[in-house]
Amino acid sequence: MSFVNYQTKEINCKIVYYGPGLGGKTTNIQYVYQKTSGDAKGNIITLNTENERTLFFDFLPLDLGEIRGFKTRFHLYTVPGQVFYEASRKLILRGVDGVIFVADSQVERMEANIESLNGLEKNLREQGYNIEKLPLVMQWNKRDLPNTSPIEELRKKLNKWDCPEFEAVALKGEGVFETLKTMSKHVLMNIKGGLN
Amino acid sequence: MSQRSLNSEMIDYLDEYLSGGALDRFSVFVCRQDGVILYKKDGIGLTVSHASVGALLGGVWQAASTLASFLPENEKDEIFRLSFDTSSTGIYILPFQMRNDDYYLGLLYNDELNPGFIKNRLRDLMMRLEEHLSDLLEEAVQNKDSDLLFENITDDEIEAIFAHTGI
Repeated sequence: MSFVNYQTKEINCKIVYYGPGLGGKTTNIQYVYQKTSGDAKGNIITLNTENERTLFFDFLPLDLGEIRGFKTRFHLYTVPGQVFYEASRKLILRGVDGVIFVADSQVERMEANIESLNGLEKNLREQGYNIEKLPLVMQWNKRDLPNTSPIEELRKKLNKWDCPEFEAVALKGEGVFETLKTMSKHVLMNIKGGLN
Repeated sequence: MSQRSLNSEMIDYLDEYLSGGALDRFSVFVCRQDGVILYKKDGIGLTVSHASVGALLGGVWQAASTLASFLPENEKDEIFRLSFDTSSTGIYILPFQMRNDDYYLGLLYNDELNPGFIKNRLRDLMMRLEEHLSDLLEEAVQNKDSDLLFENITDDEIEAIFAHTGI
């Protein structure tokens, strides 16, 4: 749930990168961190296992510019993708304003994508969210690999809500900011002007 | 009373309570369940952004709370506290509620001879704050949910806010 501080004219929003393990969620926010100038970014917080798999979450606070007199701050989170961290994923979704679903385009990861997306829908529902009303952007990551599913197939199996979608190679930064900018726009346009 | 006034009230109340008191030299934060910081007083001078502190406070509380829910004798009405400490340094987190939403009051302290005393002060603060806010909330009014803050944001406006980050 976004927070509008009228006293300081500041908006805080929470965006969660969701998707199957090793799909590129952490890579997305690491790229954002690398490319953002020092003043605009806070420390990136990473709670990892020893082999650098996300254990609880990654977190990056990002100060963007002003929009219509309000300073904007986005809190970017990733969830751990591995199947057995379901409890952590539920916790991280609390208070979410928008979800970027990072799908792994490789053919052999389609089942993992579907399982993760079903989990997202279920976890959101359990917390009172309707996935159809929440800003959701799909990212088809790893498009540079040779064994990727066609976009049409990804769309058909994963994007039944007809959300905005982007092809990406997060390691090289391709599609990373396009995805985030679209999500930011949807989240900002979804903010209630009343009480938070 | 609107939410904006309520936030100001909370900030004023905490500033007044903490000023010159036993907790004054430490770092005190109030954050929402999603980690957004509503109040900060960083007496210690932490070497991390306050937004990160909020994310970690919210995360650690929720993880501990979920773990505690598996305890067989966990009574729902019992109020938990979260402590991570040595004999002189540590973190202490207490939950409170406003309008049925959960919030966390977090204390980070160091070099303290009597941690029990400052934890007690934080519990006292939490109870007073909850009582104070609950009185104010009785006067609170809700705006309509359907009121959107922005409409029709253009792509140029989005480009402009990202330009600030050097992208």
